[in-house]
Amino acid sequence: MTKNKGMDRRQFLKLEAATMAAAAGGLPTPTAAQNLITDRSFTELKWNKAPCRFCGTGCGVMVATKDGRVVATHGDTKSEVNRGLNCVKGYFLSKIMYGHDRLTRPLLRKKNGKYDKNGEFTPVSWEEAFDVMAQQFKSALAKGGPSRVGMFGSGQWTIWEGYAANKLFKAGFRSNNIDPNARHCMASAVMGFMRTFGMDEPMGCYDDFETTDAFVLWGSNMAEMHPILWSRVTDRRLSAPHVRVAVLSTFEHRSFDLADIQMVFTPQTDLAILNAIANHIISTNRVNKDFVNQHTVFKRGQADIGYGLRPENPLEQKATGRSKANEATDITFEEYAKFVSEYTLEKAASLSGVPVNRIRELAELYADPKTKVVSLWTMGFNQHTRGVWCNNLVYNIHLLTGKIAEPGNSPFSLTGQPSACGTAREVGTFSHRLPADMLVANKEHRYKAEKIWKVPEGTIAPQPGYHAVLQNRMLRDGKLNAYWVQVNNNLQAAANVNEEAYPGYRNHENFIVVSEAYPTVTAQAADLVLPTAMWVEKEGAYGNAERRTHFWHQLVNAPGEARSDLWQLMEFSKRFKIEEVWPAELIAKKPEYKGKTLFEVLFKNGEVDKFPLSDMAQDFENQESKSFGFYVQKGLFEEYAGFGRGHGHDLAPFDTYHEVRGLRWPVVDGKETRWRYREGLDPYVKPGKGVEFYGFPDGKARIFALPYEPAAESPDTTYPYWLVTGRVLEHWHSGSMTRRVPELYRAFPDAVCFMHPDDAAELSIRRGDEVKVESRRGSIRTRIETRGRDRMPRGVVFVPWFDESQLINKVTLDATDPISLQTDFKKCAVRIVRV
Amino acid sequence: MVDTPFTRNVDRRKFINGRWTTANVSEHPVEIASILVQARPEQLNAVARAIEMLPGAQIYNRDQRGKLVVVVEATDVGSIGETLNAMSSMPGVLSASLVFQGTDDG
Repeated sequence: MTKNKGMDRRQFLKLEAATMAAAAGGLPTPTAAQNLITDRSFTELKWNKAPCRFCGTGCGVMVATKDGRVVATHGDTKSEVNRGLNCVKGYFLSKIMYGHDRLTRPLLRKKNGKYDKNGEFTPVSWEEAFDVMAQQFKSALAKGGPSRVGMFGSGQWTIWEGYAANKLFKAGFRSNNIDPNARHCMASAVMGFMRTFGMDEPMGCYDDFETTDAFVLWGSNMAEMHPILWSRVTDRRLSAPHVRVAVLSTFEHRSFDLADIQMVFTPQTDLAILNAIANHIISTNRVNKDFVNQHTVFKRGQADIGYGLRPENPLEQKATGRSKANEATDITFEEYAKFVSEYTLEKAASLSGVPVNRIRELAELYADPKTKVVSLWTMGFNQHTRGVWCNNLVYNIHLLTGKIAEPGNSPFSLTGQPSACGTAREVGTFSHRLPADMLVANKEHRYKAEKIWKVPEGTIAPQPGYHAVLQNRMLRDGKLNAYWVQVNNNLQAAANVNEEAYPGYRNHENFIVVSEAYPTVTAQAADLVLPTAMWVEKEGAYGNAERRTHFWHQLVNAPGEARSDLWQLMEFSKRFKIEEVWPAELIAKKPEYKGKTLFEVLFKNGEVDKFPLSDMAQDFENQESKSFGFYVQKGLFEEYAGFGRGHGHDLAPFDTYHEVRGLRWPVVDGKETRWRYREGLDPYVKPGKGVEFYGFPDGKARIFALPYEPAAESPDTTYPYWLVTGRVLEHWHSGSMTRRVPELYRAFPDAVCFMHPDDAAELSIRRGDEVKVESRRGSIRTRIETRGRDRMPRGVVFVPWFDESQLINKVTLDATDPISLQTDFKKCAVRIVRV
Repeated sequence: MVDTPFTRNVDRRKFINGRWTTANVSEHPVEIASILVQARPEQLNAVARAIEMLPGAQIYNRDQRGKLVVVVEATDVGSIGETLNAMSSMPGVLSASLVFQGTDDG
């Protein structure tokens, strides 16, 4: 091409860019771009749809490939979620697979040519990698049975990866020690849903944003963490002047820029504010009595439930309700009203530090029957030692007023990861769960799963396995010995690294396998690292926060010998004969399985291998299916879908999802469901019911009486500051992908400690000074930031966790919500010391 | 056997520091991005003026209710991100969303 042609191409690229943006914003096309459509071939790119790799918003993107590489992306204008927009992370999707230190070969620690936990990482073949790995798993099983093996998976697994892993562990190895990193982000939301509604996931959808009168953000920084949804909130606020936005947090952040009602509250006092709003609704006679009488019952939840710490901890020893944390008794409305009556606006103000008038203004948004409200929350509520309670309490105020399950009235639990819903929750990759909201502890549920999986009755263990925090403790104690980590960076992500996680991984009794794309801190602590395919290097499916299941095809090949998590799971299963993992009595119930491998029992069972390669779309690669000889993704999906169809979790046929931009379940007769539990909008609500919370047999939601209780570790004279951890816009989670994109790295290169300028001055620290942030458990070195996007109140500091050179989780405490077992990353006590 | 990072033993120190292989970037890439900016209507003109001061940024379209279409062209891999962040933190800007990203290899 001549120099002239090059310039023309650039002009076209710029015009194409402008046209996309104009369309996304609802503006007319720039006149110069009117002829663009006919000159598209100039850019020589091939475009296909895919969901974004990052957050739970689940934006659609169009991905362009050229010469076997992803070279460009743009927001998908046909996606109902983002309508052509992308945030800064989504924008750089074309670069996340091409960091220069991408892993391409299995690496095993070796000394003198043999596996040695203290050896150097040595490239090995897949054959050798699986040889050693199988041997380690078998010796762990021989040592002490299924409880000795475990897996830590992910809300970033594709749906079929999570399903294959769940089957391999729960039915294959018969171990329930499989838990996802979604335990760290959404477990409290899940238990909140199960306790209030009997079924998981929101009843509304993003469409609520465009019709509501008020948005209330409870401990959620949408401007940075769900930016595209925030642009929809902003659009609504700017185009309808009566709309109000309330933002509540423990410090001021970017979302406050749009807020009409701004509230900075003392950590943990969200519990008091929630109860005060309920009290306000009742004491000013704005309860929707018809709704409450027809559709709710009242419960008093068990209190004084402890903090999920090790049993010998004094806090646990004196927690009287610890062993019955999830229990509740029936009460009347009058008893509930009396319970919340102590939470006056004045009491909430005094506890939280928020002025009375502001709490009243917020309460009025809920109490006024004419104001439709969307409540939004993520980690502020969920990563909380009383996170389940927060979820129950926010549902209380929507239920008391009947502001639920209809357009514009929506308590909406925002999801962090792209498929915490679609994979971890819906597939049930938790230590206590099975697909479709079923539980391992429930005999009928186990039997149903065993039937679908064609395994004998009694295969699935009834006792819940080790959850995330307990897995680290069991590794440390040498009770969990063969451990596989996929699609997460838990050594950076889990709390209390020094005391639990790190000693656990390096315990010489344990063999740790990490499937990764890049050399993260978790990979570095492993004994075997397996190079893994990313995103569009494999055919995949995710489920976003609004119950939208969406698919993508494999568009490029993974580099070197990297293979997808799915291929690894299925290939590994070939190494086990059934006699090595099941006792003779169990095999005797299905003698046709004698001599078979786990691969044959779990994946060549007539269901997963049902669909031939000819069913695949022929213009796309599919490495896993070609490797195994059948359409694995379709087989796994259709078997999995059998759990939920007809039970309110209906998924459409597999092939449909490749054609459309996702569908919100339940999908019944080809139609998606936008609002659940409302007659006319949800096909499962029986005629005449109006509203039916069919997750419970009585069709009623539960309103819980739950008190304020203090945090596990509050500031004191030695450690006088609250430490809150969290994120920034530019980096996803632990930064393993985003910090390898030069633009994102430069936008926010290193973590800092945000602090109030007066707090810094008192310690004679200036902005930019190096300090130690120290707790009873460990410390990091960082620099103080007194300005910028996060404006801290006095006595509170904030450190984001994306920076592997500043492992803030050495400092945090592994206290959890005792019901959800989710870690509270937002509250512990630290001191700041000049270095 | 050819000696590459994939065939010899990996030095642990280099592995930990991410320096055991070499980068592979194009010689003269030009990055092009389009961004949709939301701002309060009363501050739109001021925001637009400020954005036009950023290197490589051009306003292609404007809606007085509070939206701007901006196209950014940069020769340097770091600049687009910096420009986008500069926009996001400008007073009056409520959100800056990327719409299109492409690399023209030049």
